[in-house]
Parts: sequence; C-alpha cells; structure tokens
Amino acid sequence: MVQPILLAKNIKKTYQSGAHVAQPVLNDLSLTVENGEFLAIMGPSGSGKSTLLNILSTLMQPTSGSVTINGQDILAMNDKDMAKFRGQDMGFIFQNYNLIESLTVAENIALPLNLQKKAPKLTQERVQVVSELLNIKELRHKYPAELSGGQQQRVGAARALVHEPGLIFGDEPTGALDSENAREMMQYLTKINQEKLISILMVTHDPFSASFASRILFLNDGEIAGELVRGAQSRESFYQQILQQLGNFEE
Amino acid sequence: MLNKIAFKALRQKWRDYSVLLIGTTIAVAIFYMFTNIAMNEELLRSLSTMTQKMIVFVFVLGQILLGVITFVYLNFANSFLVRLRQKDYGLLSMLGATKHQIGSLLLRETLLLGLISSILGVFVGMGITKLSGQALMQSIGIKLSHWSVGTPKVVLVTIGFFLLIFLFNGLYNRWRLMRLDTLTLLQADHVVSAKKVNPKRQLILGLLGIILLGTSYAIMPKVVQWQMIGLTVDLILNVTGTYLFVGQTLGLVTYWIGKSEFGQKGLRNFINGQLRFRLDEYKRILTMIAVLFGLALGAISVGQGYYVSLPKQAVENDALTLATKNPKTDFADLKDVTYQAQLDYVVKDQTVYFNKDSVKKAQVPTLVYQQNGQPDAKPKQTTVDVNHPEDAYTLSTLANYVTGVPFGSDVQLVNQLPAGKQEIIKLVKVKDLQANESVLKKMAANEKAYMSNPDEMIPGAYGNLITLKTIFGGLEFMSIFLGIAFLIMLASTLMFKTLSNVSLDRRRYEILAMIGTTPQQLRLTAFKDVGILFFIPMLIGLMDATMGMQIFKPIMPDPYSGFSLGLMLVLGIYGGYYILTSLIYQRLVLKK
Repeated sequence: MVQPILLAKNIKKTYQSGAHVAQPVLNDLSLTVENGEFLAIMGPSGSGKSTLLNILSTLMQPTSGSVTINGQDILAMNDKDMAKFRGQDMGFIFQNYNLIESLTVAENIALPLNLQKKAPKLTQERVQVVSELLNIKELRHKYPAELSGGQQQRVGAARALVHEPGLIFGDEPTGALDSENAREMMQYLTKINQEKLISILMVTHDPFSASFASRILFLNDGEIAGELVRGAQSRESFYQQILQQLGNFEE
Repeated sequence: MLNKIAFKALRQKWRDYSVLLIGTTIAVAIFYMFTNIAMNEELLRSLSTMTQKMIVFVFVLGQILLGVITFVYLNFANSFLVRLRQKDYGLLSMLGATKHQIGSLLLRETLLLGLISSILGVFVGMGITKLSGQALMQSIGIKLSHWSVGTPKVVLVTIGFFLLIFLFNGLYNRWRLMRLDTLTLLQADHVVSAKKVNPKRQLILGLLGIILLGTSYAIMPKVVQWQMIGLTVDLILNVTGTYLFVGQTLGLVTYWIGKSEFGQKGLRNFINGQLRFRLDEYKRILTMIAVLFGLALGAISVGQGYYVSLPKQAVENDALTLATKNPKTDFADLKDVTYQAQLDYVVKDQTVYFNKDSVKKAQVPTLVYQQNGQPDAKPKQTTVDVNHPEDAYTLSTLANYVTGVPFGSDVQLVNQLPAGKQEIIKLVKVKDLQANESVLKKMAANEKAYMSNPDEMIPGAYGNLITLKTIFGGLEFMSIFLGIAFLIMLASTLMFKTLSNVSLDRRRYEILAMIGTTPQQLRLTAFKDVGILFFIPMLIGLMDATMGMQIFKPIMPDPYSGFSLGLMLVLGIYGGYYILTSLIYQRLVLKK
C-alpha cells in the first residue's frame, strides 16, 4: 500500500498569552492526506484552520503532536532543512498571491528552481511547461503590478507547481478573486491535481471552491467536526451537499 | 491628547524610531562639527596666512553643500517616518480623526523628533569634535592654537538650523498627507509601480552615459589649463555621465543579467530584480553619492598628498639636515649619516667669520640658487665654493642662525679667525629625513638653550619640515576633517534611503522564506542586496577620485602620494556604514 503524503497525529496548539493558559486553538487533531488527494478544510473564522495550515506547511511549530510528510518527520528538522524541504517538496498558493513585484512573471515562477540551483536550461523548460498549463505564456515578461488578480493567482499557482512538489498548500486561494476568476482558478487546481498527480491541501471558507475537492474536512473549535467525500457524484450535487452540511452546523 | 499619541508612538515603535533617531542625531552632530570650524574665524585665519581667502571660500562652499545634503537626508529620514506611521494614520482617519488633526499629529511627531535629535546631536557633535580633533592633531603632529569644542553661538546656529528644517519637513509631510485619502493611507504598503522602459532609448542613453563619463575622465589632466571653465565643464560632464550611467547603463546591465544564464543561479535574479526595480528611484541619490564620494576621497587624498610631500620639499630646499650649536650633540644616534662636519666661527658686528681652509676641507654641502648671475628655478646641490661664499646658501643660513638676525648677517671666509669668542657649529646630513625624525626632534629640543632667538628656525631640512608642517598641517587637518564629515553624511543618507524602503522589501523576503529559502541564504541575500546599493556609488566615486587626481598633476609634485591613505580611511568609514546598514536592514527585513 502507498503511504499517505501527509500524516498529522494529535496536533495540539496553544497560544501562550501572558500568565493565562489560553484555550487550545487546535485540540488533539489528526488527519491524513492520501497520495493524489485533493483535500479541502473548511471552517468558520477562529476555527483554527489557518493555524492548522501553518503547522502542516512547517511555517509554525505545534505545541505537541507529530507531522509526517512523504515519510519524513518535519518537526525533527532544523530551520535550514525545513526551508529546503519546503522549497523542494511543497508548493504554496496564497490568498494575496505573494508574488515578488520586482520580478517578472517568468522570474517569479523560476524562483523555486533557482533556489534549488537547477540548470538554467531545465529551469526555462519547466517555466515554459507550467506557463502553458496555466495559460500565462503571454504574460511572461510582465510585472505582477500589470496583471489582474486572476492572472496573478495563476502565476502563483505556476510557481507552486514548477518544481513538481508532492503536495501543494492553498491558503484561501480564491479568497481575493471574483466568482468568475475563482471558478477558473479552481479548474486549474483540479487540472494540476489530476494531470500532474500532485496532492492538494486547501483551506477555504468558500463552499463553491471547496466543491472542487475530492474530500472536505470541517473544522470547528480546533477539532474536526465532520467530513464529506465527493465520490462519484457531480460537483454540483457535491456543492449542494456542502451547503446542507454547513446549514446543519449553523443549527 | 495629540501630544500623548505622538509621544506614545515614539515609545511603541522604538526599534524603528531608534534607527531614525540615530540617523538624524548623526546629521546634527556632523553639521555641528562643521559649523564649529566654519564659524571659528580665528582658527581659519591662523591655519594659513597665504591661503586665507581660499580656505574661507572652501568653507562657505562646504557649508552650502553640507546644508543641501542634510536637507535631502532629512527628507529621506522623514519619509521613513511617514511610512512608519502611514497605516496608523489611516486607521485614525477611519475612526473619524479629521485630516487636520492627523496633519497636526504628524507635525508634532516630526518636531518632537527634531528637538530630541538636535539636542542629542549637539552633545554627540561636541564629543566627536573633541575626540577626532585630538586624534587628528596628534597623528599629524600639530597643535592648533584656536581649536575649540564649541561656543554657544555654534550650538544655537545648529539647533536653529535643524528645527527650521524639521519644521519645513513637517509642514511638507502634513501637506502631502492631507492630500491622500483614507484608503490610500491604509494600503500604504501596496503601492508599487513597475516602470516600463523603451529599450532603444535606454540603449542610446546608456551608451551616452559611458561616453560622457569617459570624456570627463579623459579631459581631467588638461582641466587646469582651462581654469574655471574647464572645471565647470568637467563637473557637468561627470555628473550627467554618472546620472545616465546609474539610471540607464546599469538598467541595461540588469536587463542582460535577467536574460542571461548567470542570473538563473540561486537568488541572483532576485537581487538583480531588486536593483532593476530600485534604479529609477535611486538614480538621483546614487549619483549624488558617487560624485560626493569622489570629492571626499579627493579632498582627503590631496590634503594627505601635500602632507606626505613635505619631507621631500624640506629636503629639496636645504643641503643639510641639521646644524647645531650644542657641542654635546652626538650624531651617532642618527641612521645613515651621509655627511658630518664641525666648523669654528667668530661673530663680530653682525658678521660671521669662518676659516677658509676648514670650510674648504669640510666640503660643506650647499644649494646654489643662481648660475652665472642668473637665478635658477631649481637649486643645485653642490659644495661651497670658497671663492664665492656669497652664493652659498648654507653659509648665509648658518650666519643668520648664529647671529639670531634673520636678514642682513654677513659671511666672511678668512685665513685667520679674528680675535673674539670662538664657537663651533656642527653640521649633519642624513639619507632619510623621516626615519630620523624622532632623534632630530630631541636634538632640536636640546638646541633651544643655545639659540639666541628661540623662535628662529633651525637651519637644515628638519627645520624646514617643521615650518612646512605648521603651514600645511592645518590644511591637511581641514581636508581630512571635511572629507570625513561629508562621507559620514553621504553614507548616512544612503543608509536611510535603503532603510526607508524596508516595508516593501520585508514582504519580498517573507515570500522568499515561505517558498523555501534557508535562513542563511536569506541573510546572505540581504547582505548582497544592500551591498550593491553601496557598491555602485563607491565604484564610480573611486574612478572619479583616481582620475580626478590628474587635475592636481600640474600643481602637486605627486598627486597620488596621499591616495592610499585616503583610500583606506574612506573605505574604512564607508565599509563600516555598509556593515551597519546591512545589519539593521536584516533585523528589519528578516523575521526571527
């Protein structure tokens, strides 16, 4: 059996604020992302979903628990190895795109490969391939400030993808986009997931975006409150199912 | 209430403000240092009688230049302040504070900062003046009689000047702030523009930059012939050339690097992109710094060059190293003695009598200033011709010295010394004047007891050297002092310009960290990122100064003789600033 790409066990996170021992943000939370899976994590604000994403993506340390990605215990790594691991095995798509505005589109996309000191020829080729995949070839020599939000997010996705990581993290990737651009973005992410076989873990509060995932975990007060699996049903009916589930939570 | 908010802001953002405060304090201190000398007329007059007009002119010019740099500098520093606070102002405005209230808040903060840094700066300025003054005087080996650490007048002028600039800056900031709407304020960090360039135009202008800069270097050796016009034309060519070089030529370079395989390694493209992005905004300040860096290095080198040429001049102007009336003087302590002798003489009615035979036998070295009755531009080193003692410079100097009357002593060479008190004078010449300086100094000190006029110059190259040092030492002191003051201001200006953009850079570095740059790579990148900004003006400034020394070729024996020392001093200070800036930059840009 193939091992899961990500395995988180008993994650606990408490923010220390002065003398008080605060309510834990994440309470003994465990989850698994299977290889090739497209997992969405939903939850209202304050549910701990951003904290969870930060911990899983090595940007933050949990108070206790363990995280294994690709069979490697990421909490045992030092800063340097962690950074390298992030650069090689993970991709990131952010809500506010996080492109470097002093670099052109092509240069932004090439950054992860530059960091790994890949040969320039190979870098060019890879940038070419992902630019075609995300339909941003024409924008190669433009600067981020000259692009629309949707275009910027596609560049962000291309950068997350260019080094062919095992897992891409998305932090509200459609949060700053209008519905048309959001749909387009989610279609691209689905394409990446299916054609490139890259696992995706995405945090979102938008049911529409979540409906593109193959599985959804609902987070509430630092715990997993529910789960939906899309299975064979169409995206539209999955979307209805999600809305229903969210309605149940409201009550 | 507004006062309270202004004061609280200072306390809360202490780390950011401390950078600002240190910077402005340095500006005040340097200005104080300079004003202290510029307003000390007695000192300026005592430095040199011959060049009095020139030195006053140099200081007026220096003060104007320093004033301009200070103004630009404080402008950067203040825009740094506005950037620090812009978001808070936006928030206050959203909560219902009126534009007028916010403007007034900013003005108060600016003035508060101005007041604190002016007072601190004056104290720091006094400290630096005292320490650097002492250190410089000691290393040059002179004592300036009218040197002082400051007068109330200097303190008042400095504080007044700065409060005025801060007031002006505060008003300007307020005016600018009041034109912005709340939304722009809140989104302070997101305003980024990418400038489009026309490649053809850039190529032409880039080449023009190289040509202009090159021309300004090429004509430097001839500039003095064309006097003021030459200097002005050259300066214009140089400044324009530098401006185009920084703005356009380097733009082309970053464009090529971005395209090349060289740029594809590691974070080179990131650093290159940073530079490409900054060039348009930085071209003015980098040009200013490049030109002034060259001037500062030039000033120090020329001053130093004059100074190191003094021993050579001293030796050229005398055939002996030292003459002494002290019979106990032992020349054995001196190194490499090439000549020594002892002459008997008798003084009678302002006339000094030497024995002709012993002068002949001693082969006394002398300079001859004329040949066949015609004056000679370059004195000839020879020995005294006993048939023409009136031509022998050495003998008349010795005569003037032993009588204590500078002019009008007569020399007679006789076969038999007349009756009277017979005295001796010992003569010595060494190969290397500087190597023997400390021993000679002791001999000269012991000589005082035997001198009929203690203010009299002791004959020989050593005496010449002392005289030259009192004349030119002050000039050297000034040139080094001036050069250092300018350099510190320049480097501080660049430091602020770099740090004031830190909020934009911070985001870029955060992104780099998130996508997998190791902490070590980040630190190294930050070092290089800042390094390039310091390197560009340094490189151009170094070329300017190296070439610029040619200007002094017709008026100085060896313009480059002081260059290495000037270079060490300048690079030391500038390098120190670079390290300081990149450390602060790292602290601000990289998250722990």
